[in-house]
Amino acid sequence: MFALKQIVADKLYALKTPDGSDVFHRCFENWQDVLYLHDFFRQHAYALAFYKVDRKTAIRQVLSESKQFFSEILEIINTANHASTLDETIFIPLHNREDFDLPLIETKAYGTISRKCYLRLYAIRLSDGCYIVVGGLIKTTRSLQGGAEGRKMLQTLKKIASFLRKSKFEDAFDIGVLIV
Amino acid sequence: MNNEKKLTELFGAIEQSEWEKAARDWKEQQPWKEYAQQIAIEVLELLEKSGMSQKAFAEKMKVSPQVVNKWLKGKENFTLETIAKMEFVLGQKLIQITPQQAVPAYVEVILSPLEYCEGPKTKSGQLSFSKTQFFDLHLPYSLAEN
Repeated sequence: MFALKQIVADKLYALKTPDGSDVFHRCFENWQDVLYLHDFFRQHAYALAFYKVDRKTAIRQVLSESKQFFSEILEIINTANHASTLDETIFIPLHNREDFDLPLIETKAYGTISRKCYLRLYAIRLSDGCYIVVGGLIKTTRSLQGGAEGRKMLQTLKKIASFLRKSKFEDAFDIGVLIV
Repeated sequence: MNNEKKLTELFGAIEQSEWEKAARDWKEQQPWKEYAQQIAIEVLELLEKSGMSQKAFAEKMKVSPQVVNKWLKGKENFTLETIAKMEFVLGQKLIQITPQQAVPAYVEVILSPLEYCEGPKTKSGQLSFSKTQFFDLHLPYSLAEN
């Protein structure tokens, strides 16, 4: 069904793509690829109205945002003994009403702290500071459900979370919580 | 049980992603890649405005479409010779050094046709822009050191 690739052991994993890469690496490549972004904003011209910019500006902003975003992740995952930093600085619960106390929650990461940022990553939180990245997208609609790509992302998130729950993934960690 | 072991049981063998190595290389190459990306943005825009296909551009540049594809992704460390040739083919200046700004190194990326270079006109011959933008690309080294 699904296969994983490891970005950093016990910190960051990502779904494997059919071409042998992974969704995290694919986002990184696409969001630093001028030709990809040029074609993307030509096909999603309505997104330019959403951001109130022209295409060249949108491309520059995505390049800049992804540069900042991946530099930050690179720095965090290479910082020893800070297992929770992805929790604090990168990923937040997908739904506002949830928090990190819930097991296997769906999470998102913004390209920058600005609400009007372009980039989103979606992931399942396995335990403190440890995630499986399920995919990422350039936001083109107000809500995730507003576009076909977003709805597909939501479905994949739910599918992976459901698979992990059915497989009792969280049990290994629950015991630790009960003892404490 | 750690996450890795449990995940391997559920998903099968987990291969190492190439991302971290790619990201480290990218970090090292970032100073020149930012120039390459700005040039790629301009070239794509000029191709579109002139109606010249990437294939036709490749033919005029006497390179394969695969090479042009790499250029347009913003992943090519262009030589000055290549940039000059692109300017000739596109009939448009792409970069200009401003000697007034010696430290830090400063390059203007010209977004408007301030100056046409000698060469063939684009197909439409109707390139029209209204403004010029400047980008301080913050090179990590100083020209003064050389």
